Amino acid sequence: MKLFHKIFICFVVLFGISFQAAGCLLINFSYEKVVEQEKKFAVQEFQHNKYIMLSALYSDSRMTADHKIDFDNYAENFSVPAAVYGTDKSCIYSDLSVPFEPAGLDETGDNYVIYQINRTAAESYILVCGLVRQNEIEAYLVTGRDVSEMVNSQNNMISYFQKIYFLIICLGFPVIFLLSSLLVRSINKVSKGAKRIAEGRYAERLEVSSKDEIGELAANFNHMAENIEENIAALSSQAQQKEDFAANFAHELKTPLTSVIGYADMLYQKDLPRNQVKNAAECILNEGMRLETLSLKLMDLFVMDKQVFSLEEMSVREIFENLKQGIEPVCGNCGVRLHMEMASGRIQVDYDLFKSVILNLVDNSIKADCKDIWITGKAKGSIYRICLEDNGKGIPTEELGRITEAFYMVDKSRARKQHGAGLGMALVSKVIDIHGARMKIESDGKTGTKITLSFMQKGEHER
Amino acid sequence: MKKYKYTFLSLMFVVLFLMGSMAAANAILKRRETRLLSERGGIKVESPVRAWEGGENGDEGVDGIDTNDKKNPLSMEQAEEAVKSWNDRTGVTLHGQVAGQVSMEEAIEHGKKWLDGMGIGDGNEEGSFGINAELGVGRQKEDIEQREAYFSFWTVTYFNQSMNAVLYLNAVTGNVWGAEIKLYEEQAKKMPDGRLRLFVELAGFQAADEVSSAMDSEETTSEVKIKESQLYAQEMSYAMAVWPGNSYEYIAYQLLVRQP
Repeated sequence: MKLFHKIFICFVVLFGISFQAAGCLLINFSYEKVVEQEKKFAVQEFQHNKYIMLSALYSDSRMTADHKIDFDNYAENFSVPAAVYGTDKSCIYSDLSVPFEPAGLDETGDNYVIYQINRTAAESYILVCGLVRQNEIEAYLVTGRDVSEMVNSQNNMISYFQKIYFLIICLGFPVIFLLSSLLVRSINKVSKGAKRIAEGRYAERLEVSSKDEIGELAANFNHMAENIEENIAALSSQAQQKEDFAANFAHELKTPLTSVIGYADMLYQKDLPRNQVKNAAECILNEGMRLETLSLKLMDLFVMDKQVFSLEEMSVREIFENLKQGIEPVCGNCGVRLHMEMASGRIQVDYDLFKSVILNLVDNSIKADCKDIWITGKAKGSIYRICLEDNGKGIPTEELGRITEAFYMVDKSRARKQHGAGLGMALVSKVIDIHGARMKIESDGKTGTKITLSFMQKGEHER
Repeated sequence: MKKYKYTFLSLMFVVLFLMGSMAAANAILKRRETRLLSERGGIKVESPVRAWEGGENGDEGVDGIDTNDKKNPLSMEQAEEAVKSWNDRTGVTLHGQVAGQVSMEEAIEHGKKWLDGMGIGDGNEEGSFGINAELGVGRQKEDIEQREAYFSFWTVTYFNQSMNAVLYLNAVTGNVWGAEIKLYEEQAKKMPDGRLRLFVELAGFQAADEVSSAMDSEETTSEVKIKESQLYAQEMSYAMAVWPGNSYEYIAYQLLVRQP
């Protein structure tokens, strides 16, 4: 059974029960009130007729010495149907059309009357009975109040109520149907959307038009779909990167191996003059060195993923004092001027890893044919920024996003010539991640490159 | 077809439920009706007035008609209250006699004496007229739970071929404080005239000296102030010819309270 059917049935059942219960309570309450009111009127009518009887008894008792009263003469005086019972509970006179049960007559007194509601097929009466005492005469007077009209009107009310109920239900049916459809419509929308997403259409989104629970569900569903889409994109990208890595790795292996095999074959097959043998051996040596560099860097790259490094808080000035001693000769050999200006600060680093980052970046700058390298350090609040800027060839802006990928080289032929494997920046990026720092690369592709490393400062500044 | 199976079943259920709920409600209401309309029990008839334990005014009370050589037990304020309440009644709640109120026999006797005193009727012999008497308190617009006994009035009717007199007697004093009399045939010619002062005296009050009268083509109205009170008495009389040969004289006496 669908939710629509459940909601529809619930609506109708709730509506029916509430309407009938309210109607029954109301009719019953009104019935009880009307009967109570009629009882009051019946008692008043009894009082009136009691006085009529008392007056008549008073008049007659003065005339008849033996107190024998002919009650039949009273019939015309009573304002309502009445009966007179003797103290022995025998009926002396009655023009009542409904039976009266004289069993409880003894209970009556001067200020206490009994009542019975009696009915025949056509008539209903409230009978009130009380003791009438005049001089030595005692009798029970029973008066009847006709409540047939009241009973009929109550029955009419019940029948009218049921007609109204039927009418309202007939009119309410389409409304309940519509309401149920409206409630289910949004759920159906969510369900259809979920089905489409389940089929693989991750770009599909649900329309959120309300702020109720269903609206919230749709919004959450959209959020979930977004996350799934992002995760799938990330997974796809990772798979692509791995594929690229494998392809690049194979290519980078194949290129030097082809040279090595070619030259080795040539040396094996032919008897070459000494100078050609020397040239071939030099090529084999160079390509071997390239392979060695490649394998070492790859090893570093893989080892870094598995290894846990312990970072140590160090003074930035101290680190760069030490680094300067290694960088300056390299720069001097290549005719590059090194400018270094470090503000005081303390950062948490693994010295060897950090050294490899700076050396890689300086090496890249030198390979980019720069004339000057500026290394500056500035502390701003809790951040310490190390900026390495050169005036080399720079990196084309469209390539900036990819230079941290393994085996990616901006200028492949030049890089190979310089024994580059395209793994330097991938290593730098990994080390920066290990340090919890951030790296920003800026270049216009013409006038040099600026790389900013942002570290969280730890401890107090050096004095 | 299977798609609409539950819709069809739901509709069937709903229709059955509606029919069932209607039948159930009818059955419940019928049961309640049967219970209500076969009810039996007793009702203690609560008197709308309290028993009268005597006036606080003693000898200072106004002079009343001397039935048992007793003074009128009501103060003037109480008399004014009783008259105002009776005149403003929207109906009458009948009740049994409570302590301190005159009995039906006394009321009838007082009435007869009043008729004799006023010279109304022809001797008023025993059995010469029918009598009906009832004791009640005037129903007011505001619901008052229980009132003093002096708010009750006996309404005693004397009737025969030539007369129909309705007298209103205060239930505590037993004095006639209002009367509506119709006199037919020969009795009409014996219509009492100018007995307003006597009415006031029989009611247990003292009339002021001056009687003002007004007369128009249809009725005559006379009024007299009652000493040291807001009360005044009014007599109104007119003759009515219903059809030729069936005419009557009507005279009404009543006490009224002048609005301050």
